[in-house]
Amino acid sequence: MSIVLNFLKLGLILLLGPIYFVGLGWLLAAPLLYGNWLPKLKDRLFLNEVTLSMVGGILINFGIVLCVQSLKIGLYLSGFLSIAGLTLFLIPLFKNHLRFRISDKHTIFQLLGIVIIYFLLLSPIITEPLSAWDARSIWFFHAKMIFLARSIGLSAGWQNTTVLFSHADYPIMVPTLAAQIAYLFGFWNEYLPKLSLLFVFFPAFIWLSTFLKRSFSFVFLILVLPFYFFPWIWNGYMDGLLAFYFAISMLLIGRFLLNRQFYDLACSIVCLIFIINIKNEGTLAFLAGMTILLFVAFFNRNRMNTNKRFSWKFIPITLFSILPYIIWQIYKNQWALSNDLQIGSQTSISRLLTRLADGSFQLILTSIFGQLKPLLMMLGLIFIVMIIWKVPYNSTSIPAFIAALIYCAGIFIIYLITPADLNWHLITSVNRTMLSVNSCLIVGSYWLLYSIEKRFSNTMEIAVSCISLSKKRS
Amino acid sequence: MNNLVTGFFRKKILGIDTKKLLTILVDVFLLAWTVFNFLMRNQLFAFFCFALFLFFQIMRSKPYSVLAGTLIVIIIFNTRCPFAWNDIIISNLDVIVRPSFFVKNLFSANTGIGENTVDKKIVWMLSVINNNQFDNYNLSDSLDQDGEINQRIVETTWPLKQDKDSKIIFLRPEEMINYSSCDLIDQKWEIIVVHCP
Repeated sequence: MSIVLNFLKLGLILLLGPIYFVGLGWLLAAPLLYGNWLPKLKDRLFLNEVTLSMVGGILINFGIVLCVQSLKIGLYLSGFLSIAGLTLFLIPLFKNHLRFRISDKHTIFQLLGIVIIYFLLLSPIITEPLSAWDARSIWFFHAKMIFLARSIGLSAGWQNTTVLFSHADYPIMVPTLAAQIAYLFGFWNEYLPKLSLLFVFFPAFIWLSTFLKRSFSFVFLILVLPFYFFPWIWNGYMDGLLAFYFAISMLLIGRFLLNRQFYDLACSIVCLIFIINIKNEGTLAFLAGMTILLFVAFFNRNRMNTNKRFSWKFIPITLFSILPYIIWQIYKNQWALSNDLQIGSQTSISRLLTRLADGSFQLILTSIFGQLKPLLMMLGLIFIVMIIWKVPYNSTSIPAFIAALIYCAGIFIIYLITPADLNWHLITSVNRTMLSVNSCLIVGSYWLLYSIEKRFSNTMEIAVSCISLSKKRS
Repeated sequence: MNNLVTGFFRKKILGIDTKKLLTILVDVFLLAWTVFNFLMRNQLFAFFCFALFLFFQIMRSKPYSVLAGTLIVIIIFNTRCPFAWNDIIISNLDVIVRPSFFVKNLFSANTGIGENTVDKKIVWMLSVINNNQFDNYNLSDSLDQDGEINQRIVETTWPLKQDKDSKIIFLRPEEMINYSSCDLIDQKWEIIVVHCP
């Protein structure tokens, strides 16, 4: 009987989970995109706003649990807000007699593909128990601590000396979500909490599907980007999710440069805010991404101001979405949870200088290059083809390449200052830390392929028009 | 940027035909790329790159399908994507073939800790703690310094905590000499559990 009940519970969580996040996130997404909670129907970008709402929902859910510290109260409060958000989301649709415009066949394929992937990914995520090192020692151990204490407060045991190995200072957005799922079922095991990975992965995949186009570049993007992170997406590590969202952020900046839609820029910023709550490296990705975003915004400021979707309410809302991260930083300071890397300390600087002098940096560079080789190979090939075929270089890929460079430089410095044995640190982590760089290279390759295809389609159009003109003349 | 690049293809530079200049540049770039890959032990790709360049030069048309095909080959043989696709298919088929196994695991408390996820020593230590209903435990110095044993036992037994004053101690056989006054409770996989007065 309990198995049947739990089966129903799982079904409900799978169906209602995304809706819960959409409702909760609409409270953030609507003012961010439209400046109010009841936008006009004709302005709405259904799939894009659902995705942004889901990401916003995960952020708000985490923020609420951080504020109230209790899983139970957090779930009640979030549930109430989610219902309110869903009502606001649906009111304009009901007013217009539920006139959802599914504009073309693409949208139907998009929705169908998204649903299929959602259920296909469910199996590798929740049928394989947690076995990866960091997943057990850090991320899902934190989730277990939160679940058993029913709180993210000190009672979870962050200050216990026996859990020092677990880096209690790491962000706890995904562990909190995992603990909430276990709380809903009422027990802990090594399978169900992994459902949190699906909920975090899913919005990024929907975002990816908004790039749908009948072209090889899209096939390349959809087949390579999410799956390149195997097995880091579903084994309980956070590196795959971090890299995926970083890539989505760079993709959106690229699309902004193409279409000048303010929406893409806003979503890109939300993605960057989201990743600082996934993993510590997210801060580095955030800095790299924000540097590029500032440059892009600065060079496009005149075009952006004329865009009707831009609202100055965007700035306080963006700052509001950083709140969960700030609250977690405050807790960390209060509870004296510090990072083992000692970034900025005198010893770290002396380590950096020593490793620069003793040639250790060559080891780091070789290890990093080893991870980037396959994609650099691909990129080199695309560049050669572009030069031979005289395809004009498109600026859409530049943000991804610069972000990759900044992120890679940051990771290089982190390896230089690491207090751990450098060899050990490189062997155990370089394949994961380079995922974000690789993800940017994939995005850059996508935009280069896109520009090749665009050039071809232009050439084809000219050829077709020339043929039709000559036929008319004859 | 676009204007700069397209402008480059239209004009002559220092009186030299841009087509010729471009060919020279491509040759230099390709040579450098080939040498670089060769030095990085990517000999096969270096050769492949050069062959592809010749192919593109010979072909008058622009075969996009050749580029797409080459990229697919690189993706299949040089990335982990095929493993991911394979894993999705296998795990879904596995669920279809034996659904009851997964349903039982999914909806039972404390499932998933076995020899396929943690070391057999941990599975045994955990069973000793659970079967004897210990309130706390401690690890000997040697086991405490063993990262795998220490981390796994802490996270699998949580919220049960290690206690330095605990009378229940897990140790290695060679450390038994330090615990001669303690009573042996159980031993397996080169780990002994003792009760000290």
